[in-house]
Amino acid sequence: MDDNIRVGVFFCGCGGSITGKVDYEPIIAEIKKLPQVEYVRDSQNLCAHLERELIIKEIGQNRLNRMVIVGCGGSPEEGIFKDALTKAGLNSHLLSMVNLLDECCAVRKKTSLSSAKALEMIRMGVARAANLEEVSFGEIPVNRTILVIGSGLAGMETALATAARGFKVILVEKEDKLGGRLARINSIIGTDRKPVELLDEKVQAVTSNPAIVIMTGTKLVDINGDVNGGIGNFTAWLAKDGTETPVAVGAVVIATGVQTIFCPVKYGLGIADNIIGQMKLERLLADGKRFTRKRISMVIGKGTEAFNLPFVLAIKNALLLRRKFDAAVNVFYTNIKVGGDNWEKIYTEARDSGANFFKFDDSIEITANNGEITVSYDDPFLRGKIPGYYKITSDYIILPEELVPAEGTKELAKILRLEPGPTSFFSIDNAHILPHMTSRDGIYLVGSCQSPGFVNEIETAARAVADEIACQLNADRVSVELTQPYVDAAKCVVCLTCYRCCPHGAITIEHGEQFNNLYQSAAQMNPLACRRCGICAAECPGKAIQLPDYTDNQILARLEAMEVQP
Amino acid sequence: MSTGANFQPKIVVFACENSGWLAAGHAAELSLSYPEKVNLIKLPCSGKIDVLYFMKALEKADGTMILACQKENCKFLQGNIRAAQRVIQTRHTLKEIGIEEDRVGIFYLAANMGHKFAEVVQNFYDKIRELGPNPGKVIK
Amino acid sequence: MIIAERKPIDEILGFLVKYRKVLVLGCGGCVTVCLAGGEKEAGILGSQLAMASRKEGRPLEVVQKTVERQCDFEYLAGIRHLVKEVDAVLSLACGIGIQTCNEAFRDKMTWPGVNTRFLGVNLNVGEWAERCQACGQCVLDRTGGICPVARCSKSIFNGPCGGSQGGKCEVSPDTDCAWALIYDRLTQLGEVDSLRDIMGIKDWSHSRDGGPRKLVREDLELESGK
Repeated sequence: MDDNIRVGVFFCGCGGSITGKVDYEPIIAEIKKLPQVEYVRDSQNLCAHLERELIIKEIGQNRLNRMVIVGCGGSPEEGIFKDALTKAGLNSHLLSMVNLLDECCAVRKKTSLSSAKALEMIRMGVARAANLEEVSFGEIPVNRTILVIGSGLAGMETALATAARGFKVILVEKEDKLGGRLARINSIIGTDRKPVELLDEKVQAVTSNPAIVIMTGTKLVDINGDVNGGIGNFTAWLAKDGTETPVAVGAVVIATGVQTIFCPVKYGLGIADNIIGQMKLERLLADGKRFTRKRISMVIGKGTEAFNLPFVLAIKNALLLRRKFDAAVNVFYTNIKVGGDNWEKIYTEARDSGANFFKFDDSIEITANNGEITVSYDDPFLRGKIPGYYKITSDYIILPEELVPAEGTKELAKILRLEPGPTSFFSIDNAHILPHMTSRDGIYLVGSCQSPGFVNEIETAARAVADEIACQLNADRVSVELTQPYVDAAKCVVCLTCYRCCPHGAITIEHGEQFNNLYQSAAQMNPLACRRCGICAAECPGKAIQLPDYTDNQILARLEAMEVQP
Repeated sequence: MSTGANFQPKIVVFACENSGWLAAGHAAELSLSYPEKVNLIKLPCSGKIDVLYFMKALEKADGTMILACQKENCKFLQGNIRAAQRVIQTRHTLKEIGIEEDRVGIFYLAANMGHKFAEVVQNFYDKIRELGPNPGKVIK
Repeated sequence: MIIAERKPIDEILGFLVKYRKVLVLGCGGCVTVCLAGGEKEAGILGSQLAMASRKEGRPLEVVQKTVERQCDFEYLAGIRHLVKEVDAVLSLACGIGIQTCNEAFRDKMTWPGVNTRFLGVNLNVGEWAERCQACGQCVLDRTGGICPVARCSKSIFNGPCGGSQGGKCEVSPDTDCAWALIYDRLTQLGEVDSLRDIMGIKDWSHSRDGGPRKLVREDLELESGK
């Protein structure tokens, strides 16, 4: 920090909006007296083009190195003045805006206190300005190889989409074959394409693409040892046949999918040929099973309402069984969740085709006896008129499986330092941001590993993630403004508090002679992975971490400049 | 000036850039009125608030608060949780020296809640008025 | 790591009641790592003291400084001028640092701002547990790396006492029985039979029972070799 701080304070009347309520003259006189203020000027329209040109000249003429704008606080205006600073040869962060327009004028009528308040706010702004620091740009070399974990449809689509954008891809699959569960389903909603054809097409595309390296029988076992790297620079350890190999990658995409667990015991049933799950039904149909005994009952809802998939799947199959086998289909449901593209249509078609839909509240009893299934339930619609339990006999009962994250999800989450979500699938970052991001930049989710999903959603998701990666890793050296927190190694005791509390895993503990403390080590924030929230800076017990533009000195200087009344 | 009906508390409002700060801007757009002696200080996330900031604010002011994003809605996932923890720590710190805990608080709102901003600030101001001037203010 | 905890504020205010100007001295060593007495805590405590004294009507001027650590005289030498200007020092270092301050600045009293609790491990942010009592003759080689001195409430050797229930100590249901842990660990390592060798009576003179301890390594002393 230079000793010679020369602050320029520019007052804007905002076309009368401010000067109508606040008298600038006495205030300007007071501000001129402040020790570090070298130049003061007022105007009615500082953001006008000619005014800006003048400001640039004034900065040069008066050798100013900090600027305070007293006026409004809008982002476009802030951008204008930052631009002026840059054109004047100063760092764009040496600007402090004092928002009199909103905080002083818009919210109250003119009172005797308005000018005193304005003066205090400007003093605080000048105090902050005197503590402002430069922030530079840096170029971070990044690795442009992408690691995709899982070779189901999600993994393959992502591999193809990222390869198409010029990245190299390492596609890792823990089984011996590619394709995941795609071969096990019978039909895809919204298209007549057979899953097996789709599978063959994608496997062919992936295996013949020179940018994609495929490793089967391989798992991710570690990422950067005990201290994880960040986006652009991960070292992933892949294990195959007991040997571990490190690979350097720039981003990781998780496409590990979902697994289904068939649990007839939940419905009071045991194992039998005519008690099957929806996914098992898909398999049977794909393998060419013909239904000769044709009374089929399905149950949906009842404890599996977390996801849309079981509902739409059941309705799709109800329609299919009607059309293909002219089966008598009864669907017992607690809820119909068809909020999605064309799903309402399928439901209407299923009803129109003659499938019966029976609602039940909660109590349903299913018994199997001598190859026959009896469903007994209490109908809430007919209860008023014809109370009692209704019984329906059928040959088959089709129940929804439990949808749980694929095997190894918990371990993978721990390796990647990600929190599982409330349904124990991988948690997306924030509902308002891209729904394939995790809390850590550089680690993305595609497909059912995040929430059981549909084939037609996967292609869109894969492209979205590929685009996001292309945005983030846009060159071999990525330019980034170094606004991430910096650490004073002399004060860092490497206590790990910041490392533990960072929600984005963006902090690493680095070692080297450049760290002038007895550990020769300090925490460092990854400029690409850090999201500049400042939690680390606030937690640090040694006050070793400062967040640019929000340093302790800047904030405490503002508090220091406040008036205190007895 | 210092006591009685004329007492106008000084409040320092730390506002998260994604919620409180924008809500204050929204209040200004709607020309909503809130008390005079309120100073706004912007933070990148409510998680940046420090017990030290609260204490230094209370060396000068009668009350202080942090405005954060609504629960489970923090853009940085855990900022508002950390902020709530620090408010608890600060309340404890104040209680230890016999200063009313209610002089510090955390309030949750979203960026488009200009009315809520004005309401929260006004209610806090009224509460501090009842408590009276902060006996711990450090006048040099 | 030495784990300390700030003393109750009333105690501290009691120590400082007769002074006008005080130095709050933080330490960048163990107490920073255990979040008790580093620069941040020193700042907050300083603010608390200023406000509390204001409230009582006896304004106390507080000066604040944090040094690398307070257990080496060299680091304290750098603040000599600061100590001259104050009536007393409040140190947030562990008991070692507080005493070193008193030795370094003989004419002023350095008061303790923390209670030094124990030597322990950091299990999680905000959670520490005792692990070592510096008994001077480590037996971890015979107990699978689990200390019967620090982790057994009675510091007994050769197996649990009758109060061990379900792997927990009778002192508290939150405290593991160290000997249960030792047994399990040695079993895991395939060494449980080694427990059949009786550990002899411990020579407690290497521990506190022998009086305040001192360690001199003549080969390291700067005067040696002359």
